[in-house]
Amino acid sequence: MSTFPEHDSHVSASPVIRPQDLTVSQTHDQEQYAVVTRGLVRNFGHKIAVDHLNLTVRAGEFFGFLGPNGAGKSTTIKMMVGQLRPNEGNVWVSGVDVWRDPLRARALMGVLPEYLNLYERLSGREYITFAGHMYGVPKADIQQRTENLLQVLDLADDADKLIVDYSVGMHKKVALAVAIIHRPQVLFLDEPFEGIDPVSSRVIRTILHDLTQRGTTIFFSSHIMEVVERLCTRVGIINQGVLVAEGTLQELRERASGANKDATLEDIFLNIIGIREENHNLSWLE
Amino acid sequence: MLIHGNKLRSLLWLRYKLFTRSLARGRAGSIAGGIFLALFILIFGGGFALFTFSMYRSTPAPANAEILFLVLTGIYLLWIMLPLLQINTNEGLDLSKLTLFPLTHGEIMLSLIFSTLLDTMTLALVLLLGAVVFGWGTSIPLALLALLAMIVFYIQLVGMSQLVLVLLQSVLQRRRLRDFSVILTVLLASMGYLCQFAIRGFGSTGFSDSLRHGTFSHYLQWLPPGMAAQSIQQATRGNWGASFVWLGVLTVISIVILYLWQVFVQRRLATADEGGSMAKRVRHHHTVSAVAAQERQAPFAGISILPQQVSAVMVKDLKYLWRDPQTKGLLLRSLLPIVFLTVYPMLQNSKGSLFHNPAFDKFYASTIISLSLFSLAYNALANEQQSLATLFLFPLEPKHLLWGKNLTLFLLGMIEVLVVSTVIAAFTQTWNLLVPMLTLGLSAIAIMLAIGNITSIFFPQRPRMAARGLRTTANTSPEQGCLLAVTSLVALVVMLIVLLPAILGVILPFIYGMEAIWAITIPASLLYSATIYVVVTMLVAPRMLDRAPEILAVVSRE
Repeated sequence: MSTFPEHDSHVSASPVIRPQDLTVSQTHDQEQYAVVTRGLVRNFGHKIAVDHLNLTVRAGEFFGFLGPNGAGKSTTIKMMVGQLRPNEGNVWVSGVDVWRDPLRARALMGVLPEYLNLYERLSGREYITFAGHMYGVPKADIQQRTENLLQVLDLADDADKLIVDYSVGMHKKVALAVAIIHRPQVLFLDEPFEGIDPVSSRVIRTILHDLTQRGTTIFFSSHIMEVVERLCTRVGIINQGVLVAEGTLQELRERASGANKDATLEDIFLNIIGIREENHNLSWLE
Repeated sequence: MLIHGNKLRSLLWLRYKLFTRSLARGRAGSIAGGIFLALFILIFGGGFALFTFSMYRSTPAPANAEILFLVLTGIYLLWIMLPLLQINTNEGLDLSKLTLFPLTHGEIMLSLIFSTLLDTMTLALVLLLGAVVFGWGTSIPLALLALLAMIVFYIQLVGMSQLVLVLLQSVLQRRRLRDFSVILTVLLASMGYLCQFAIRGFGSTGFSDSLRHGTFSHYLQWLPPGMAAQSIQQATRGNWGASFVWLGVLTVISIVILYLWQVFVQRRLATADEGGSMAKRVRHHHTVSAVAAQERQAPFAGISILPQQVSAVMVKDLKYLWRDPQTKGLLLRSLLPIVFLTVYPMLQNSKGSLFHNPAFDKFYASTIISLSLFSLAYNALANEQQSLATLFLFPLEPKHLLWGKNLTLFLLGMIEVLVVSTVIAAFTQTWNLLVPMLTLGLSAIAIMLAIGNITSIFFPQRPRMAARGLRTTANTSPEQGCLLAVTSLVALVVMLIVLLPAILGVILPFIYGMEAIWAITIPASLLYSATIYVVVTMLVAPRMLDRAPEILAVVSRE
């Protein structure tokens, strides 16, 4: 297993809590960190989607990963979970190098991707059970956990219907069940609340909250600022592939808005990525 | 009916862009495939158009007129059926994307009709309709009337096919029917074989008698295509008044169809989203008791002697073979060659010219079986389609994934080999050849799976998805067609070369009448193919982890 390298000098932001502020002994204390990236780069042709990203998420955190469209959030998550090869850099999940020891890393993580690619010709129950086998969950536990997940996620009545006949919210709930059936140490969620109704949203929020209470680290990307504000213990903001800020909400508020204690996450976000309203006036509408 | 020229131009520009980009998509392979498809349609459609043209001109009356009635009716029926079978999916006909804009009904209808002109399939249609105009246009007035009749016929054809599609949409949206049509499409794509029956039927004396006596037109004239044909026929006889009456009726029907089409399309679009995303479900507020849950059989209990992940993958694949129409279609299509190449000739020649003397005829059936499953084996990972991204999220040993998938196909292949070999042995009373035939079949399957594992990991190809409905995503495109064909052909040749020692081990003793050697060569052939499978799989499996992002990129590329 490889160890975390020293930080590099490419970090352009000055976040409140920066990985490079950690001492060498701290970064080598791998159990303390759930997700660590160092010098992560991904290009698509001439476009740099992710630019030397250094990120550290502590174990047990509910980490919100924010950024405007095309900022590099999903690209980063795909590199973190081993689905997109970085051009440079490394990713560790619970101390395991994702690209050197992918099977071990996958066993430690659960993933709810932005675009759900479920086995739609299996029923919800079959798919969750299948995932249990894939993660190597003991056979005796699979059935119990599956039924439990179906109950909690309000899928029990439709458990034997094929997933192809499910609604969008039900798709998300099945995908979440699959992502957590093996009790992952780290859960990656890419836009989990996109396109789902408030009822399903509430159910998922509750489950996520419970998971963090039990020590699961959650890495969470979303556009919905209210949800991030309510759930996340720490937030990272990425813009044009560069991590421009990182810290608790309070720390970001102090950095972005000074003494304005009432600033919402949306205000902070817009302030940090430098969006000014006057730039968006359409004078011809008047 | 208000029509703005600039809006119509924009709509046609949109259709043109969609058409050209569906062909190009920036890759040489797909451009070559597009040209190949266009050439194929040009040659096939052009050939048929020339044939019908010569029939209109050379066949004595009234048989030539009867042919016109039959050709137009055939085109009409085919064009109604094609959209139902997911062929001719045309993004230009996707009204759900156009209803956002302030377009009048006339603009929408005209743009839809014109947009069909840029379909590759339309090329064949235009050639056939052109043959009618040139075949019957023996003078300028006749040619003009035939042209007019064909334009009206074409407009009605487009409108009618889309109207039928829209009317059946709610039925077609039911998953089971949708699945069935996918399977039917896949099967029809490989049913050129059936053409021979049609050709035999056309060659029969009963058919030519019907042509001579004008039997078909008597009935077909009351259908829209018959009206178009009747209009031309009346003009040919100099009955211009009757000709225009038939043409007028055809035009009125066309207008009614176009009107109904856009009315039903708009009505359908207004209700499409209500049922699409969330069907109304009656909630039964019952709780599943723990006991009931425990009693419920685990769907992936699997086969206990296999590793947990292997049996789970295998059971999943077996379920998919049954439930997924794409996979089921592939499987059924793979069975067709077996029927055509073994069972059908055997029944045709029950006295046995086929299975009597040459050793090749004795054994080729069991080898053919393995080839039939090749379409499922050589692109096994990509055939998972988008779900592969999920599969690669699991901590699944690559060899376990390959074993699970290979075992599924091995199981199917073994059943097929067993059935076909037993049937052949029973029909030809050559039970002594049963074991050699089984040996050859199983060896071929093992080597096919080995080669399939290499191609699946190193040369994955994005499988083409069938799609249909009001919301289409792309035009029919020949994407990757050439590359796919070349890769599979090379893999097939390599497979046959690698299989050669096993084939020789079984066939040579038979040819030279030294069947006693089979005691050595049969186990040797089985051992050889099993070794090839194990060595190849163990060598290539670890590369799957390295290549996972690249495989995913191929499968999920848009």
